[in-house]
Amino acid sequence: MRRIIWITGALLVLILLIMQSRRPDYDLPRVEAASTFDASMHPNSQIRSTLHQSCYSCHSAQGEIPWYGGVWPTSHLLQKDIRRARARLDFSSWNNLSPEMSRIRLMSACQMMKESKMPLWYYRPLHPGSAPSPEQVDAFCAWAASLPVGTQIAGLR
Amino acid sequence: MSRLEIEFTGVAKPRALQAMQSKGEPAASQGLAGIVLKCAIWTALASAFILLTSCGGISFDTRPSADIAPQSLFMFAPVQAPGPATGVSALRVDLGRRLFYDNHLSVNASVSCDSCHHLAEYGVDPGNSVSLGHDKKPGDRNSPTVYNAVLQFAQFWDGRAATLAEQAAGPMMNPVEMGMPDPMAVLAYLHSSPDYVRQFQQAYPGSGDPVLMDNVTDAIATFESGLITPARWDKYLQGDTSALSDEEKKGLRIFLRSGCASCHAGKGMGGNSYQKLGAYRNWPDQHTDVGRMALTHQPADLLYFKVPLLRNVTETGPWFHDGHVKTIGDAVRLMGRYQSGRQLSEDEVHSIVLFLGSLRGEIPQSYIKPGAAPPLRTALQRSGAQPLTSLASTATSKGGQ
Repeated sequence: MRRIIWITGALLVLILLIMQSRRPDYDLPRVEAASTFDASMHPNSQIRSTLHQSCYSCHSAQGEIPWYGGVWPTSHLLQKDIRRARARLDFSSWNNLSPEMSRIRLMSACQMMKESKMPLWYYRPLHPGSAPSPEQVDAFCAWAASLPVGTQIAGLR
Repeated sequence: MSRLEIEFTGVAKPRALQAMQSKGEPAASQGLAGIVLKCAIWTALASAFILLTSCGGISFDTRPSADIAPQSLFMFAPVQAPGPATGVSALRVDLGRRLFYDNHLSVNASVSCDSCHHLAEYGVDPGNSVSLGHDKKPGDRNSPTVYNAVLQFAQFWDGRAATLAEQAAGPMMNPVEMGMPDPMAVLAYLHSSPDYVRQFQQAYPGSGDPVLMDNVTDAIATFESGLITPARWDKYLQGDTSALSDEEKKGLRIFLRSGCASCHAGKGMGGNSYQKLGAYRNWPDQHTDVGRMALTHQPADLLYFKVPLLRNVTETGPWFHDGHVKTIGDAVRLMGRYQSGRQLSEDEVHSIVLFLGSLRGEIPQSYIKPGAAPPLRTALQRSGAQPLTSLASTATSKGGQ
């Protein structure tokens, strides 16, 4: 029995070591301050703090990659999560959004937080304090809802 | 070509060391078997975790008859058919329509706006990945539809024109497309036609010469602003739940669950943000067309393109910025794989395509009907203006799509 555990364990360690050669590609470009959400939307300090604390690890190129983000297989998971997250909402490149889409993204974020879908269930225990309080969510949603609606459609009769 | 710089923020190794040290037990005091076992457990747990989170996804009701909660649709907005233009607006629409169909705005009188944006075929150039210009040279990018283009926050695939009017000036002077050497050549042609001059005077009343490039592009933009195609989708958004079939509703649910609406939302179902092609998984071709990076020279803009509209998308193939995708199913499949990080099943692709069909509106036939063409050649010859075919073009600017 001991021998089987040894062999199995050794094989898994070997796989683990070989897989370390797969470097994760987080696709995190250098962030220009002018292109960020903070620079574009000028949120107050409370909103900014809520978003940085709850969202920025995955939904920006400004989050720190934890140590296990460099170790396979968690690096694989993190890469998938962060790239998918930034495809849907990226606070680092807010200048890529129209006013209409800016509001849509923020209202979606509000909805996800209100329904406790974000931060993800498995993210919270790994990042204590990341889950926003109901008051923080309400304040964020009220702020997002107060933004001007949509784009001015010039020429649309 | 500079690659995107990947920053690990310099924390990986120090943190790893800290974590190991904080465990308290020196590694040397553990048996080799113990370390092996811990590594094995770590691998097995992490792998199981990956499988769990990869396969889970967001659960949703797959019953075709299930209603879609209104709060899931807040990111969309219906459009309405524009009412008939009146006053000078109507005159500008008529003038813009005439200019849109006029192939004399190109250097060889061979192509018009309509040549690459066929109004009778949903405003694209069906069957051609990229359109051919005045001398049959291919453009750089696929011709995007002009229908609903007014809903977009910027024009062209890379958004380099802020408005329809700004966009309209691009192809005329583009050496590959319509090839006019400069705006003066366009205005010389228009001035040579008394009928055009009269039409400009009526549409842009006031003092001075109304035959100006600003008015040319404004007239085309005013005409294009009326190219709105409401669809069954809009009726659905307005509360008519029977406007979509059960199969289409199923497709909508998959569309939402797959994250498509993160970018394809708003009035136009797109056209309101720039997104990276290959946001989730690196796009295979990183070099042929670098997207907005060519415009901004910022590495962060590599492969960023304007998200195209999905209205009429089933009719506006071939798809993608280079038009290399020949079927709408492939377009959906590729979007799932490279943008959403989802390997969509054939059934899911089929359902999404069905849903996309509900975004197809009717072509406003009476609005796009060309007016009677004036004897332009005759007018040109009579005025003694320089024949446009002799005007040389210089290949300097970027492709116009």
